[in-house]
Amino acid sequence: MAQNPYQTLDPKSFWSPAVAQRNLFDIDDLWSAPFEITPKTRIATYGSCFAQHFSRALVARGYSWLNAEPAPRGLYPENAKIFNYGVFSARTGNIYTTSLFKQWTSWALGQSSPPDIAWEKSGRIYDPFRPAIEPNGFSSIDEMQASRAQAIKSFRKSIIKSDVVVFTLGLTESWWDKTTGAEFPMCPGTVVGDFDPLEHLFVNQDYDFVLQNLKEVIAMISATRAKGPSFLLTVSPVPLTATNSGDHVLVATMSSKSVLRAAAGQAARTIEAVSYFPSYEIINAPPYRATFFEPNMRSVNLNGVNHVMKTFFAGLQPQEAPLAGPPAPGLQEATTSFGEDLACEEELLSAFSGRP
Amino acid sequence: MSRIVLTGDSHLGAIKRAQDSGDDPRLADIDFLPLGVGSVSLTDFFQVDQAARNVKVTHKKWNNVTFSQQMLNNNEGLKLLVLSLPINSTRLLREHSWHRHVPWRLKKHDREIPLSDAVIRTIIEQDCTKSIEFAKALHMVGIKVAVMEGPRFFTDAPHLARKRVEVCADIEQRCREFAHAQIQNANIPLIKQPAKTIDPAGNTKAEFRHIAPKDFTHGNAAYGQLAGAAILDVASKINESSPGL
Repeated sequence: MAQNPYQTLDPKSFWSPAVAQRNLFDIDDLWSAPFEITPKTRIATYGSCFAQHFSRALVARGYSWLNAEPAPRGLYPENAKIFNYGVFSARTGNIYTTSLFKQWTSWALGQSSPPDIAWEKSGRIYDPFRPAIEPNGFSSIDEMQASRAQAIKSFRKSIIKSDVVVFTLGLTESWWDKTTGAEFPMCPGTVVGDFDPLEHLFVNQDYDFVLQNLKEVIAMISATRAKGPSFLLTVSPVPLTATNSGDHVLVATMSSKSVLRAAAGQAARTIEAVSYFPSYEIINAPPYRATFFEPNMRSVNLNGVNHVMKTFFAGLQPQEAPLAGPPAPGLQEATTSFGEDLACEEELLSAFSGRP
Repeated sequence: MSRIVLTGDSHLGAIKRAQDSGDDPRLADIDFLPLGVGSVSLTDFFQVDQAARNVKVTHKKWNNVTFSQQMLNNNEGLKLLVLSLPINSTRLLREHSWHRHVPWRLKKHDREIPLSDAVIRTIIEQDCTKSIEFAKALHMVGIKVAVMEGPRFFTDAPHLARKRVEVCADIEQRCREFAHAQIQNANIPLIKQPAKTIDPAGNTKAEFRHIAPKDFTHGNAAYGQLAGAAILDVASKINESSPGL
C-alpha cells in the first residue's frame, strides 16, 4: 500500500516534535533563505517601524546594509537616530502600506511627483510624507523640499543598487489626500497637520488592494534593470496603536495583520524572487505566549527582536565570514582623528618645553 | 600684582611663544595652565562641586586641575581666567564629511547630500557643548572667566582640500554664532580672534599659521602676540568695570 504524503514529511511539518515538545527558544528551522544572502549582498530595508531592526542587525553582523542616505560623519549615533539617519536605507520614515511603498517608488522613478503640500506647526514646517523625520520640523518649505528631494534620490539609489529589498508590511489603515490622490503615512492632525474631513480620506485597505499594490511596486522596482533585486517580505508583529475602523483595536489588529500576512504570502508564492520571512509568527504565535512583548502587549522587547534576527541569520545559507562590523557607537573620542591629537600634543609639548 | 591665567588646549601654544619672544613685555602678565589636547573636550571631562565652589578636571588625559577662586588667586589676586577650548570650527571642519554633506542652501553638486539647519546645529552642539558647559561651570562657582576664540581655519589646510570654501565658511560662521550666543547668554566675556589675523573672506591669514609645515591648526607667535594683546585688553576692561572681583 502506498504511503500517504504525511508519512515522508520532515519532523518540522508536525506540531508535536516541531513545537509542542520544544522549549520556545528551541523552535527552529522556521525559515531558510530561498536566494543567496551573503555578507556581500547589498540589502535595502524599508517598511514599518519594525523594519528598522533589520538594518541594525545587518550592520551589527557585518552584512552589507545599503545606506543610501548616510548621516554626516561624526554625528553621534544617538543624534543620527533622532534625525532618522541609519533607520531605513533612505530617510523615508516609516512606510506602513504597500501603496505608500509604491508611491515612494513612483516618485523615485520619476513616474509621479510629490504634491505641493506642507504642514505647519508653531512656525515650523513638517513634511506630510515624513512628518517625524526631523524632530522639530524644518525652517521653511524650501528646506523641507530639499530634504525630501534627497530622500527620494537616495531611495531611488537604494532600489536600483540593492540585491535584496526587505519590506515590512505594517498597516492596512491609511489616509489619503482627496485632491491630489497622495497617501500620507499618518493621519493628518495626529502628530502635525490639520485634519479636514472633506479633504482627508480614510481607506482600510483590503487584501486585493494590498496585494495589487505589492505586485505593482515589485514590478516597478524589478523593471529598473535587467535582473531586478530579490524581495524579502515581512509583516510587522506590532499591534495597531489605534484604529479608525470602528472595530475594537484588538479585532482591527488581527484583521489588519491577517490581510497583510495573506497578501505577503500570496506574493511570495506567486512572484519569482519574492520570499516571506516569518517575523510576525515568531513574535505572535501562541507557543511564544507573548514572551516577546513588553508589558503594554504592543512593543516588542529586545529578546523578541534578537530572536527574530537570530532566526533570520540561522536561515541563511552557510556563508563566508561576515565583513567586519562598524566600530561600536558611543566612543566619542573616536570622532577625532589620531592625527589631530598628535598635532595638538606636539604643539603643547613644543610650546611649553621651550622648543621652537 | 594681579594675574591672568590662560588655560585650555593647544591654542595656548601660540601665546606662549609670543610671551617667550619678549616682543611684548605686557604678555609677561599671563600665566599658563595647559590642560591637554582639545579632543578630550568631547567627553565628560570635569566635575562641579557646588559646596566647595570648585570645578575639577577629571579626564585622565588632561591635567587634573581643580579650579577655584582660592586656587587661582595664588596670593597674587586673579585678574582673569581665560579659557581656550574648541569652540571653533577646526575639529568640525576636519572630522566631518563636508565634502559630501553640505548645508541645504549650499547644495550645488549632484553628489552632495543636503543637511537641514537643525542637523548642522546638532553637529555643532555636540562638538562645543561640553566646552561651553565647562566655562559656565567656572563662572558659576565664582571664578572670573573669559573665553578665547581659536583661530578660524586656514584655507590651504589639506583636510579642506575636498571641501568647498563656502561650505567651510558657512560652518565656521554657524559655529561661532552658536558659541558666541551660548557664552554671552551666560554673561561670560568673549575674546574674539584679532581682526588683523582675519582675511577679507573671513579666514585666518596664512601668514599667521604655525611654522610647522604640517600644522594647519594652530597660530604662530605673531598670532599669539595679537591674541595675547586681545586678552590683556579684555582683562583690563573687565578689571576696570568690576575691580572688586
